[in-house]
Amino acid sequence: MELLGNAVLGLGVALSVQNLFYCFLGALLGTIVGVIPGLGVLAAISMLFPLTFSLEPTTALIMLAGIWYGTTYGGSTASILLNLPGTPANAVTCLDGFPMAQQGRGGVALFMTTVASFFGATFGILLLMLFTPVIAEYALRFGSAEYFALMLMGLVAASTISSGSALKALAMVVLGILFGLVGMDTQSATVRFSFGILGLLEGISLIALAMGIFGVAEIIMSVRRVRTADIDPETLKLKAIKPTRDDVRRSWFPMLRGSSIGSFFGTLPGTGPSIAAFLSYAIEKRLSRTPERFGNGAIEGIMGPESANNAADQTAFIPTLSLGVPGSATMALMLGVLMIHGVAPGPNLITSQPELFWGLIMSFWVGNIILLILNIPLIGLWVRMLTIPYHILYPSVLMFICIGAYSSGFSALNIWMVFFFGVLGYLMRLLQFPGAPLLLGFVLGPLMEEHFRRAMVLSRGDFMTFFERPISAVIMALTGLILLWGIWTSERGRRVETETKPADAEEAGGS
Amino acid sequence: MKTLLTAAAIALGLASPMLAEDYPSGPVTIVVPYSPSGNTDVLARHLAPYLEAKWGQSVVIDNRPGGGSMVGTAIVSQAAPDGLTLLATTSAYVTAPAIQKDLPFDPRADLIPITNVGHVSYILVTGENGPDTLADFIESSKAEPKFAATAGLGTTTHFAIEQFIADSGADVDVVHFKGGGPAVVSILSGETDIYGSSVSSAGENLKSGKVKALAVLGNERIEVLPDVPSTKELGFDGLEIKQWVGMFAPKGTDPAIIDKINADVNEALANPEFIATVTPLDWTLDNTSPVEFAQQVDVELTKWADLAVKQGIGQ
Amino acid sequence: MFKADYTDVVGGALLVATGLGVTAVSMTSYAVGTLRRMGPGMFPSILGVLLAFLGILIVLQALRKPGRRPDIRVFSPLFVLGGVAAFAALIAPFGLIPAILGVTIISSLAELRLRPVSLILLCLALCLIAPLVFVYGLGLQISLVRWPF
Repeated sequence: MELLGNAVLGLGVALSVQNLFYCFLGALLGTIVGVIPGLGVLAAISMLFPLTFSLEPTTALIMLAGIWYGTTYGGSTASILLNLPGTPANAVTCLDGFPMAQQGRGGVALFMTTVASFFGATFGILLLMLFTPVIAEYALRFGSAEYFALMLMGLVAASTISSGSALKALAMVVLGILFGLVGMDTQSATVRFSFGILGLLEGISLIALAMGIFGVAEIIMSVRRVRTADIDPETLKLKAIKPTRDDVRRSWFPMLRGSSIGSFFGTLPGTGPSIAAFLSYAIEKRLSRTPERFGNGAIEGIMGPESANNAADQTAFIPTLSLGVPGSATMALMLGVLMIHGVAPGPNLITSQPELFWGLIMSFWVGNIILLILNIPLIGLWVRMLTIPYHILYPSVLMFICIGAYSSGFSALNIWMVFFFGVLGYLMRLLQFPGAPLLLGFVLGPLMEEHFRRAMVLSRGDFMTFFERPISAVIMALTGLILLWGIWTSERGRRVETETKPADAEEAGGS
Repeated sequence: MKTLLTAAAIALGLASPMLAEDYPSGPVTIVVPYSPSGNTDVLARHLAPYLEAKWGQSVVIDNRPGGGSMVGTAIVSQAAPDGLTLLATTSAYVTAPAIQKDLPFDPRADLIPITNVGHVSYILVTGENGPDTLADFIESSKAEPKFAATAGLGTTTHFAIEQFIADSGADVDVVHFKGGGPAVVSILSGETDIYGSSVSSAGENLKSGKVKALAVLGNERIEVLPDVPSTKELGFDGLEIKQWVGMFAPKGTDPAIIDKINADVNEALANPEFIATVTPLDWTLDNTSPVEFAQQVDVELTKWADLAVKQGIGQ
Repeated sequence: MFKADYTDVVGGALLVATGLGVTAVSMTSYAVGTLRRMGPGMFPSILGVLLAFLGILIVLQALRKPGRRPDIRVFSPLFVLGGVAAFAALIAPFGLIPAILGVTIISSLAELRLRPVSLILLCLALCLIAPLVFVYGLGLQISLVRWPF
């Protein structure tokens, strides 16, 4: 009953004319920022931050939060239509979203990712409403050993993410980790692999890396190859967004699993939506009876990750609001908004500022409904983007990537990084190395090193700490299971292959 | 020495009265070497309108994050010395040189200190189940070694702990986290035992008792925590550390302009309205002359460099 | 068709070189430390060896399977990357508009076909949209045009 009262209180705040307006503004801006490749949510929020000086803290947060989760809605659009992720969290959506678009099912993919996003966000918001204090408590049990175990599990799961050689995927994970190590080492202040460039002290920009490897490389590969005339005009009609019954049936469980994974990772400070999306993809591929469909337009491959990253977006507010601990740079910005207005986040926020807390949470819901209403009619417009001749589209996209990279950090160095990773990305395409594992290695690797080294200091050099701490031990055991299962399924797959092949040949011979 | 310097400054000021009077002849850019929404950025943004009103020129905050504030600092050190490009940075200006080699500027020569805007006090905190007094903490660390959290190597929180270890002889292992947030979490979860925190980082957790304050790192108690003893009271003389925000100008800037900016900033700092805005954000505002601030910077540069050598930090 | 997959041989060899290079730099320039207090050099040293090892495996595998000739292009990467480089070089000294013109004009040459009318229209449109979205919409602090000299 109390919950209902709080929800009503929150709705009262969220539905005030002013808050509704800023919520809409945030959602709209977020969608645009998400669609534009290269322009990250952090850069967008940083730029708009000064605006919030003059707003009420609740209103300011409602708008910034709208941009934050709106970006992830919009981010899948470019992934699906252009094979370049709008934000790093949507990179994995390229894997199956783009093949769907090539098969003329771009509208379906856009519609279904919007549904998945809404589903994931709703799931996250529900958790946020029901369990914030409980979850904040359990997040505290995760020390460095547990984080290391989680990262390890993520990387093991990731080695299966792309179709093709597992060796190559693994090599790309390692390369990604190495790129992640560039910059100042937090444990010793040694600057690694910076080649004397001062701006590299803080490491390589995630946006620059993702945009170079996925964006620039994709453009290089597509120039003079993509013909707009190839598009079947039938697929542009509004009714072409209607998913088949099979699509819907296949989507339920990936959405549920994706939302759970996303919610979990969102609550752990420092992990976030990108990792959640990747893991969700890896798990869907693992669980699927037909893993060979992944990478060729499997709808599960977009539904899981898109619900995961949106759920993570919402639950990321749990540590931020209830512990006062921001999970990412973007969340630190949100905390900054509160601090400016003299509101201290922490365990008492819910009781001391109920209007703010419940108003914000209910605004998430309002915002997600706005996004749903906003995005579905936009699908028709986005799909039409494919009819723009490529010789007009690609220079524009390239320009947006450049400005986006510049805006995250306000320095030309980020654009040079896009250049460098463009070269690397092109080389990787030529040599047929997958990009997604590199990106995940880049995100997870430095965290893994940091937590491993810290765990070793805290255990005074005892390696058994990873197996003695109960949560860590459970995660380690799960990682072992994933490994064993992987070996078993690939063995079985090979046996099935060898058994069926002669039969096929016979059949072919007989006809 | 001090009077001599002031005399020289006045003499130079008289030599070019036009420049200082005309200042500022155009819009002023204050470079903040941190991302928007950080403590420094917020303070600078609150200050800017007061300077705009005084100068009749726009005052733009330009965020140049990177290299732990070193990128923005380097940019200003190379800017034209006309007083139109200023730097607002933190005590990282004096701590970073102690551990980072090959800085692209000389902190003693390439920038002129204008004024110390304000500072944040640091407190030593422990978790819910930790000891109640600093003496108990030191005592128990000798029976069973403890862990200290920092917000990263070379940060103010790190130097605070190293100084504490050096002065108290407590048996403490330092563990570095990435930023103040994770460090506070490690105190909350009991993974580490002590952390030199700003009052705002400890925040609500302090009020709710999930984090206990053992001492204020300084000579006096602070207003917001009247019951917490200062380290001086507890017998640690010289165990004082605070994070400040100060303003700097590129070398070669006319001393008369430096004095004018100093006077105008200090005037804004005395404005009751400004005080009312920033005090809830933890800031204690200062009022220093350029000479005093320059001496402070010089003393701290030496102090932290010595401590880094003594404790073997960043080797 | 080649007898061996030379693409993978090259790829694997590059990985071996990178891995060994990383390990060499890490071992010589950074402290390796002990297991209890790992130095900054330990993790990258191990990863470098791992990368080189994976590279060797990829080469070995490639030698035993046939491969295709990769479709290498010279002009597409040259102009697309040239556009990015032009933007990077122009934005700080000259401002946003020249940088936009740089990336748009140079990268559209990758089509290997000049369409003067559509290119001019595109440049105009982008020079209008980008400042609207970024400078006026999002408040990005950058001058549109400037002259550094």
